[in-house]
Amino acid sequence: MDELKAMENLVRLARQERLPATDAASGAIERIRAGAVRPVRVLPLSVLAAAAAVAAAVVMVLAIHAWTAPADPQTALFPIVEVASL
Amino acid sequence: MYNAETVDETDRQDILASLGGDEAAFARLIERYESAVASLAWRFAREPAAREELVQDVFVEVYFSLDGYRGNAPFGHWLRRIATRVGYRFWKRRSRASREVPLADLDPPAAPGEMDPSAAGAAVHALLSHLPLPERLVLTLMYFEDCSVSEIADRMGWTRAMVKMRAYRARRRLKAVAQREHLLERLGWTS
Repeated sequence: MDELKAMENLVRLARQERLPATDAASGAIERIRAGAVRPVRVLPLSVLAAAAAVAAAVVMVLAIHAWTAPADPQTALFPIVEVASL
Repeated sequence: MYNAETVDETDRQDILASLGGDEAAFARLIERYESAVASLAWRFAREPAAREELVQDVFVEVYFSLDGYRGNAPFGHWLRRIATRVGYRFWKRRSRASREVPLADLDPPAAPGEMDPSAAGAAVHALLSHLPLPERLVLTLMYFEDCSVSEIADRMGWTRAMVKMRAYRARRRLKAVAQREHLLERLGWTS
């Protein structure tokens, strides 16, 4: 008999093995309770990240606009004053 | 939400209730699938305590992944995939401490053909423990779960070519181990 054939015979026998019973329900439920909350899924996180990116872009545009715009309304008068002083 | 052709109605109700936090519904799912998971877990851990813990690991992981179940395949298939991966991780953890089971520990049968199924199970377990883990997994699933190449590829996220290659190498290596360990003589199957 070939070794692989013997192995198949062994497997056929092994499949008839009576397995010891288990009682996983109470233990699993207990561990689930201890584990508390479900882990956060990636999808909601990515939606949150996208929203944060859009908000950041808007803030950046506003910030650049504010930076380039005159800080004081009187600043607009300076060119006139310069021309007048000439 | 779930495909009615693939997902059993009882399962569907219990899954939805479990997602809503109903522990009794999840306990019913465990009760329905425990023997299938325990049977698979036995192929990964033959010590009762380790196997019990493994079965619990599977159901804890199932619970926390339940909202990822899309219902495209029967719940049992999805659960077996998780069970296989949990079992494989168990082997990986154990392999760091080298878990090859010596064949010398096997009890020879009283007479040819009179081998006890439990002894046969121990012998298969011992022989397969000499293989690298991916090869061991492929043969375990083929021998005990009647998995095809595609099913193994699907369960583990491997390509079909990879599974075929591993199955081929596993058989070749297994034959060498069996010869080295004089398996046929030990079993009295030399005729």
